[in-house]
Amino acid sequence: MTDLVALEFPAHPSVLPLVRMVVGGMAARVDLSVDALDDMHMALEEIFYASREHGRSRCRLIITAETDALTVQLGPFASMHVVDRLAEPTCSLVARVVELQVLPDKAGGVSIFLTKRREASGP
Amino acid sequence: MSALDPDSLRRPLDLPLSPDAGASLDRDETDERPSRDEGTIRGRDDAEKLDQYLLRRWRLDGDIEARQELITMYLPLVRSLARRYAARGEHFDDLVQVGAIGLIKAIDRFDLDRGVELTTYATPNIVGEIKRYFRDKGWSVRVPRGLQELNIRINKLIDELVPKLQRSPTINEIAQAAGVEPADVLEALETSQAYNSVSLQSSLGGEHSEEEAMLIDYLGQEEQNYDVMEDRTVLAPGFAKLDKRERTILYLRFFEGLTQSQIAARVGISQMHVSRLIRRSLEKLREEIGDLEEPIVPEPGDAAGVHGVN
Repeated sequence: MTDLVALEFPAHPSVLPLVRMVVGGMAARVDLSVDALDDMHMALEEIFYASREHGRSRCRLIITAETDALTVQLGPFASMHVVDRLAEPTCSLVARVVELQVLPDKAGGVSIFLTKRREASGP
Repeated sequence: MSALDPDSLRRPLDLPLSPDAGASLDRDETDERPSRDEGTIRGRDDAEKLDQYLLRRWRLDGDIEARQELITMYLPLVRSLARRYAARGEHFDDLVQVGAIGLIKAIDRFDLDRGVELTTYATPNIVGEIKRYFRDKGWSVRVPRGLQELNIRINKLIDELVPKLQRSPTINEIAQAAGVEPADVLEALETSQAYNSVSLQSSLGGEHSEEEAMLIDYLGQEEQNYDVMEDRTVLAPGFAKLDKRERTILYLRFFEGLTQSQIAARVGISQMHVSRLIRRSLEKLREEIGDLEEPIVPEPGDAAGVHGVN
């Protein structure tokens, strides 16, 4: 099972509730726990703020729900500065509770992938 | 809060009166106005008779002055009840005004045939109105009452499901337990973002604040680890701005690897509250870092590459 939702939205915090709702809906399809969902939300918000400070006016997300994992792709980012931002305290903290990868994309930028897997002891 | 509309003291609430409300009363009883002297047993009887007299005047004859007199007579009761809640950060006068609304509702809804005293009926109405005020005030943006209530119900359900399942519940499990759709659960969870963070000095419930434990009492059990936290130099600048309890929560979550539910169980608060505390701490850290750093100017055409993080 793979479901995919793509979002493009203004890089403004007021849009975050909507983004959380969409991510939450996809997390429900994977049967993620509320703790895991909250980790994903927090990670997403920290990356959002890190990239927003970099002067981007819009954000792009691709949310992928697989059988046992939820992945949110942020980007692509043209500049490497967003990667520098990932070393900041809040980003490095959330990277402890979600899988975080930075990968190049075909257009020459980078995308950040956040993944949260369903707990082994889950339903 | 805006001042209580003086007209509301004179205007009946728009509440349906039962057609036969007070119909069984003997009008002769209302002819003579009892005196009120609460200093003696006989005085209390007289006070009750005066209440009945005024209530009849109001309910049967629509005597607005009788209603006004009842409100004035029972404002000391409102003040007394409001005083219990005055230490919770709201102005005492505001609480009195909110309580007065509860009193007015009680007077307007009082059933003369029930045979109870007005104080017995009014007290829970006044307290209920004050509690509702606190509940509504806790939300930083207006959240529909139904969602607030679902949020509270879900909060309780999560606390019940965690020990039962021995793990954090899923959205679908919560929805099933609550008898609602998963989308409703998500919406209700989202409303918790709109809830004001509770002060660490705040009580954990109940009405007798002087006997209550405060949230702060349940935190700070990991003090031996603070030094470890401060050694994490990458986090040091921001962490210095967090208080010990916030560092404790972050430590438990991000370094000890405890889930929010486990932290909640350990410190005796709800999972949602843990979530809010973590978010607030991250926000503080983010703001602190933002203050320390020079703004980064984007460099067009910056080379892309592969960077593994974590």
